[in-house]
Amino acid sequence: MNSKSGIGGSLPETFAERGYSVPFTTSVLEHLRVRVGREGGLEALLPGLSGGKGTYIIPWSDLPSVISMSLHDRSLYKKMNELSSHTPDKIRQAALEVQQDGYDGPDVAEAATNAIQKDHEISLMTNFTLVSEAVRQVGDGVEYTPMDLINEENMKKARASVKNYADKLGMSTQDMMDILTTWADTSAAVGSPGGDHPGYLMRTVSDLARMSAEMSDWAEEEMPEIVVLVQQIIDAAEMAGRLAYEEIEGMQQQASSMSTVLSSWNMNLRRLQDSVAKIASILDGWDRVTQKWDHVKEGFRHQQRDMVGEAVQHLPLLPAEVLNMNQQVIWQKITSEQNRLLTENGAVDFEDYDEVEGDIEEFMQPQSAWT
Amino acid sequence: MEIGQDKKDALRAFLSQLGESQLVLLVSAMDYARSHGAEDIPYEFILSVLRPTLFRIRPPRNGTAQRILCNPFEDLLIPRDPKVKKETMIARASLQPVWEWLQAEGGTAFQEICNKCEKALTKEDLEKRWEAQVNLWQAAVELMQKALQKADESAANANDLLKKLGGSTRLEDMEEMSHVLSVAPELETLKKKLPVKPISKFLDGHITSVKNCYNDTADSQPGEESWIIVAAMRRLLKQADILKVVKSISPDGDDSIVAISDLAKVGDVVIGDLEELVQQIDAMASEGGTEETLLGLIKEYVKTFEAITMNLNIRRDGAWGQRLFTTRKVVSDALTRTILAQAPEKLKTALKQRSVKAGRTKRTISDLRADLDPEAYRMARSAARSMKESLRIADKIGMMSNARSVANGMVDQLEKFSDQLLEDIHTVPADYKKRARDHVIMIAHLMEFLVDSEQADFFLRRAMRRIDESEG
Repeated sequence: MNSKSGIGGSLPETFAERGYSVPFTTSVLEHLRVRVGREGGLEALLPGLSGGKGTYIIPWSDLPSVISMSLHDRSLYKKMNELSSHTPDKIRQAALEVQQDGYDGPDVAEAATNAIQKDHEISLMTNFTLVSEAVRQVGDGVEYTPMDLINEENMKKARASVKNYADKLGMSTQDMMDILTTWADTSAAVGSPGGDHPGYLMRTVSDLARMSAEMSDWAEEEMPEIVVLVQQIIDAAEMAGRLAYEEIEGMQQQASSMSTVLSSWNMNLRRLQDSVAKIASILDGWDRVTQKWDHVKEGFRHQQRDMVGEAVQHLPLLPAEVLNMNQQVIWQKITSEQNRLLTENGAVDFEDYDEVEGDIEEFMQPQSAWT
Repeated sequence: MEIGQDKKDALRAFLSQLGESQLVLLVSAMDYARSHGAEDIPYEFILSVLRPTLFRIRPPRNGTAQRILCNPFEDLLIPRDPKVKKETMIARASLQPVWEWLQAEGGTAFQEICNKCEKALTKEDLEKRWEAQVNLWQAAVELMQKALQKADESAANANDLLKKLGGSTRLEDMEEMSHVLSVAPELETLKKKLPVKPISKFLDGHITSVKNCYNDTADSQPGEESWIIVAAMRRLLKQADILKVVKSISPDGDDSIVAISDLAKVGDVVIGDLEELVQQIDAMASEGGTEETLLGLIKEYVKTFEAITMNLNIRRDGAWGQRLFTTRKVVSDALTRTILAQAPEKLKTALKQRSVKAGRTKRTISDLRADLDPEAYRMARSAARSMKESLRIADKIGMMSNARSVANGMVDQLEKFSDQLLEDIHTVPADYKKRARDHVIMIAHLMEFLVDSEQADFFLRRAMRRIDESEG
């Protein structure tokens, strides 16, 4: 299933078909995505190599023989092989663990440690928020703030206050608390209902809005041709942010009808898991774009222009499964613009990368990346 | 006019499906409606959606002769309004004064040409449209050249023109406008053969198109042909790439010949830009900018320097040669004092060692008594990474031998330390295994910059196995 394909104008049907980004540090692997191929094995999708206009599909197991990876990527590659599934959340977790070990230097290690710590805090605060909501909606109605529940006495009172309701559902208070903990763990990536403690996905949505506003200001002094590129990034970022936010809103509303959720928990847990997975998939790849913008935004104009030029060619695609007909047309237009840019200006030069060791050409066959 | 998101999506999808001819009609109708005061059309939103396509197809926009007049020199326009005129750059602020002067100077005859042009642009007849635009450009050139010639004749005339235009920058800008407008038909035809700007890859076919246009213009407008090259240069992402055209026009590429030809201004602009970049590099090196930013600028410098030396046969004793080699010296000095001179010491700080007694003598071992010092690691990493980048560009700025020697010294330092570390982690107490692993990862990570990732991986696996098997 090795192939090189034209991507212009076509959209993948599903996220699974599009694949998920992997935060590799080896420059040639920067825009790599991973997915499960038709025969069940993992595949790496590499765009824009060798001056080509398409995506190269390389069997995952062949990747180390083609590319000389950094130590960070070797370690992440090994961890990826140990995962049972390759969702954005699991890939992120694996990457954070590798980074925390120091494989990408001390700054990244510190950031990874902070991110892991933050995830933990958000999960805890989401749990406290859900418990306080449960007390308010199905308990004795006392108004606790999540911070109040750090106090063990208050937590005991909160538990006692929902006992009657737990009895009514035929479960113990501990069972109910366990459900709320699972609920919090599941939705921690998004954060607490109400948004006081935003998880990493909610923060990505905010980052997208912030980046769009900053880019828009920055572009005011730019040449019209650059403004056009910036506009494409903003359009794509706004649509990804909006679709993610719609899903987040739907998900967070569940906390305002506790009794409905708790009375059919298993079904609602699956819905929660599906929602979080969908949000993570919509936002997958955007954190790298916002980080790159943050990296150059205080720098020189030429660096910012380079960033914009590169980002517009590698905007994280949204698949047809989350887009209505109008949105599909818009995205098809964006991808055909990307393809036009590559056709007119040429893609990244294969020779620019020292890391390509094997004969990458042997991995190319003319077929679509998405079918 | 504000519209909701669903309507925006629907409108955007609809607009995305329109063909180019339909878009031309739509834009033309919108221009008409807008100029007639229609308020219930979301112009800004529609234009923002259409902008990428409009840049490519460049439909003739209705309404203004001024817009048509400016098209040929649009690539030379700059948003800033510098006090001192920069050659081949026209301040946007000069557009309106020059336009008003043209209208006043040209009187009704010029106004009639403008009206005819605007009228022709509302019609389908492409030939007549083109003819009307060419007439407008020619009329403007005649007015400008006549006034400039008159200004050359006496100081009073010059002062009069300066006063009418609003200063010397405006006057100099108008002079450049007149040059570009005199080759406007040739230039506008050329633009259609080139990709949308900024052109990031200037391919052979594009070079041939520019060269042919230059040669044709040399026949039709002798003396003005270099403005074709200047305008084409301003459409490139890397302006130095224009020297590929210069090389194709003057295959010997001898800089001393080019420097006295009409192409001199092209070389002057490219080398002038390079000198500005070098000033930035020098300032950053003196003010203690980060290694990453400094190397980013030096890489930019190297790309431009290469483009110049690859396309022009630069003679060291020529004027351009001397300017170029002066820039190279400044850049080499900046690299030496900021990176090469400091990197070995920064690396050493992270490789902590101590002396211990071994019988009657002392020997040096790795100092694993404390956890990693993040600040020392950070500096060592930055130094190692900068050395790797420096080696990539050193030969381009005549620094290879220096850079290689510094890098070899650092590799030597690192290898000695890693060998010692391998010996010292034979016995690691269980509580210290994490710390030992952290040190090993640091060394391996530095090694991947200074040696390569294969050797770093080999060391990493050897050292980790040793720690895992260590009985402590």
